[in-house]
Amino acid sequence: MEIFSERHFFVASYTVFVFLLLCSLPLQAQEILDTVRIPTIEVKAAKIRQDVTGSVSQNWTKDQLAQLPANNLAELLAAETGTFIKSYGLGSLATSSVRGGSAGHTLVLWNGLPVQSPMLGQLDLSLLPVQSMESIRFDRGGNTALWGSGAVGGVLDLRNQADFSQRLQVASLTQIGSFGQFQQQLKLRLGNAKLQAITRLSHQEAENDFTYLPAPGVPERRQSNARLFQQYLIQDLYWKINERHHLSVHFWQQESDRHIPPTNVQTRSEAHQDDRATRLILDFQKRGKKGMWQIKTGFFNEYLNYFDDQILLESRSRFRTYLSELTARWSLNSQHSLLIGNTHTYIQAWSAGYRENIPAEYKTALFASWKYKAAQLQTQISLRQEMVDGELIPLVPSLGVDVYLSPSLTIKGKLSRNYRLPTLNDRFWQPGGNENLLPESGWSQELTVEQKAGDQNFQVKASMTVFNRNIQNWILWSIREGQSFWSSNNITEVWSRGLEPRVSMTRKFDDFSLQFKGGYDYIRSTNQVELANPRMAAGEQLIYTPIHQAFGSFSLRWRGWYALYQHSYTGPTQGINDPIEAYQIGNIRLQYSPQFKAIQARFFLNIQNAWDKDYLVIERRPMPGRFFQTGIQIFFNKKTDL
Amino acid sequence: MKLRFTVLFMFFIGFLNAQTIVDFEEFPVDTFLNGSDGNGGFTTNGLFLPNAYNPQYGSWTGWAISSMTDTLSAGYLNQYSTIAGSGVEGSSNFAVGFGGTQIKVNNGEGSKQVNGLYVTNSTYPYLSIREGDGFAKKFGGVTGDEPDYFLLTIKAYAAGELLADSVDFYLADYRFEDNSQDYIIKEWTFVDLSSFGEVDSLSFSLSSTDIGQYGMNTPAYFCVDNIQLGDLVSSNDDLSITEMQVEVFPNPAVDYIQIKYEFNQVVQAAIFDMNGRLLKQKTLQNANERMNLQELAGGTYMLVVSGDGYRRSQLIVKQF
Repeated sequence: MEIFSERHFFVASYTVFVFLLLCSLPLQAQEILDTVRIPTIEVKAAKIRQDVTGSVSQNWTKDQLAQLPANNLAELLAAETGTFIKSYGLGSLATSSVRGGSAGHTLVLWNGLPVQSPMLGQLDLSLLPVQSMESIRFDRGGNTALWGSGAVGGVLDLRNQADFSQRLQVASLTQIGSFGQFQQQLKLRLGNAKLQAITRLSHQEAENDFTYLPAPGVPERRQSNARLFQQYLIQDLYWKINERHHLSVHFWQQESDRHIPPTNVQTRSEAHQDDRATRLILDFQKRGKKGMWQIKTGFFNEYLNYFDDQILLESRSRFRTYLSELTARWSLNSQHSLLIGNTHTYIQAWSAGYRENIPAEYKTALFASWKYKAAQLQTQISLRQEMVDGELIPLVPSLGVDVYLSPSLTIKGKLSRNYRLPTLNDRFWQPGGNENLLPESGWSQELTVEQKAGDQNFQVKASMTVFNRNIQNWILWSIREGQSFWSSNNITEVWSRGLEPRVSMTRKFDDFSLQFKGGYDYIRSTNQVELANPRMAAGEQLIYTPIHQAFGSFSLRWRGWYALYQHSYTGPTQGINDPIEAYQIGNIRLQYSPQFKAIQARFFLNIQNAWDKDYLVIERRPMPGRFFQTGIQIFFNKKTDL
Repeated sequence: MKLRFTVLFMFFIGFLNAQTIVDFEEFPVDTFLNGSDGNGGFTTNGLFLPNAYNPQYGSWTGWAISSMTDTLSAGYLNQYSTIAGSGVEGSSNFAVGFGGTQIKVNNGEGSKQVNGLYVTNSTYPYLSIREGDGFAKKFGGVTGDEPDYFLLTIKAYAAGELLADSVDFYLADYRFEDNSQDYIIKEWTFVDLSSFGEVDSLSFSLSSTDIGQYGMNTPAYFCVDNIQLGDLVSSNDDLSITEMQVEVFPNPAVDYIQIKYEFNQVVQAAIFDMNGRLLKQKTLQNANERMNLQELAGGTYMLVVSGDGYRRSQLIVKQF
């Protein structure tokens, strides 16, 4: 499988990097001349990575995000996508399971760079604010060849984008809610045709001291030690040096202090967790008539400190990530596009769990993708070769095809190999870390049939996706025979397969519209190797992986009024200790948006868990019953020059 | 009745004559010994308590010897403390067992009678069972009615074979219909192992109703002290022991007994019930001392007075 030696790979990797860099220089001069001659450059290079071929994706714009009863990415995915969100409670840790994968199998990108914790391999989705993003895209299915490790179940791409037509924009959000919830956000956008600066500030706090029924006939219990405090600053600067040269800087500083409530079989808790993240990305683009070069550099410095005063536990951890990514893409003609990229990532991490060591990891990858686009066919072939600390990872290819059988009927298919690298904790934690771990890897296949019908006023879209995925060398922490401590090992294989039917309908009248969206997921994700610890039979469904999930939403819009009802069903799951019952949750949003000249106001009321259901997502972790959020958003826009 | 007392008396004379109490007091323990010396275990009075210590990670399994008595701090960092607040009868040292473990008798080269031992909870599981923690449940569950238990099972090997019988001791038992009867062991409690007879080794395992895919959630610790060894086979030591004249009165007694013995020396007086459980111990400094019986229920007991090379056993009766 190793097509290069380690040395050759290093040489090749750097050669490509330097080659791409050098290639861009003469073109830069050329483009400057071109800029003089041609005032407006139309960039025709296709979006090869964002515009997925062979699989399905969902997109949300900032306007859509602002009108959903979801404050963070976990709430958005749970209500809008059918993704199973493992939520430990209101405001608590939330991770995802996409297509029966683990939390580390969903790759999260911020402006195109992965922001997962390299120590844990996952990201707490409850810490990712959705209303401060310009757009969010969710690709279902494996996409390691283009995005790298972790893109096994899906990819979440959070983006901040420039809008050079904007001159002044002020947006604010003030929200209060049950259980002492209070949230304030301010967004200020200032700019002209060359420069844009966007500042987003957010402050959020909550007591989250909801009451819940531990069991029928048992007195109500009030949740304790659940206080949440979170604030962040996201600052974007965009400089359109000229039509062909763009520079942007993205800065994200976030702090959160969350108290960890007791389980429903725990008298009290004094645990709390501080998360602090500083993320910085510099993005330089050179755009030509048929091509585009892009250099991204990222620096992430993040802390996760966990304290439990009750048991005198203090666990501090920190990591730094340095990333650089150079991509070049060309539209060879109207049909053929090519992308070549090279990434370098260097990570250092600190934790008492590493003892006196400060583990570091260096990764580099070469990837390429070719896309062919014709009237009735789109094909994409991608290839990635990554190397971690001198060890070559298996080459991952991907083939995606979209066939447009008619203007209304499309068939999409994808075959890909995907992997997830062991995390730093998997490799270096003491005791139990295992430096000899292999990446989790395997092949995925998926097929989607998509049918559209309707006209301008009535649209129906239905699709059915069937997928299949096998992952070998699945990593689990467990106590092995003869050991007295937990250790990480490649001990099992997981076979995931399922069906994902989706339907959406939109009906528009003059000043009235209604929309229905719905979906159902049937997912079997089974352990294929009999294990003693964790105790799992061959063929057994993974824990916290529902076989059945369904979701639907119905919305009405009339002039400035908007009403939304979201309903989701999650089938029974198995926890680590006990089975968890199925549950259904309904959320309501009522909204009125009057316009006063350049100012638009939006008054809203969210009723979460409207049917006041007692339910658990994670065993022993109670969820709140019905609760309310209300607030006002104010927008001021000016698009002319100041 | 008379015949029964005679048989019991002879039984006590038989095994108490040469009884050795293993109390771990000879170990130089500041806080705990967890095997970091690399010896692979602890040897005392012919018993071997194995320990597997990993110097790379500082982790251990098997046995530790401890004198830690923090009864308030929850969690893993207090894994060496006993909830009883001391060893048996206020002694300093005791043993802490972690996970499935064993004790070899006679230095692993023969068999011996183990009459019993004292057991209690470590502070870590005690508080976890009572309050719950981030991983383990508070016993009784969300309703308080769930029939939970934390069980120590002791098995024995004799002549290299696992004996069919085992002894179960509930370190916590919440299976009662009446929740007020639910309990977690907090005091040192005698566990009678005499039914095993002579054994090569004892094995200890813990189980709990709080169990999941990754095994037991209840912290797998327990504490042991004052292991009573009985030498049923005559030895040179037995031959050196001579009778000592002891007077005990009143007998039957009400609240106390007066013990008079013939040599003015320090001796140990111990009271056992008719199942051989040690109920009370006292060090006697003078040749004529009282021993309080107020906390004992009415019934028949065995008093054993022993000194350096001397011992005397006598049945005593406390009136109802």
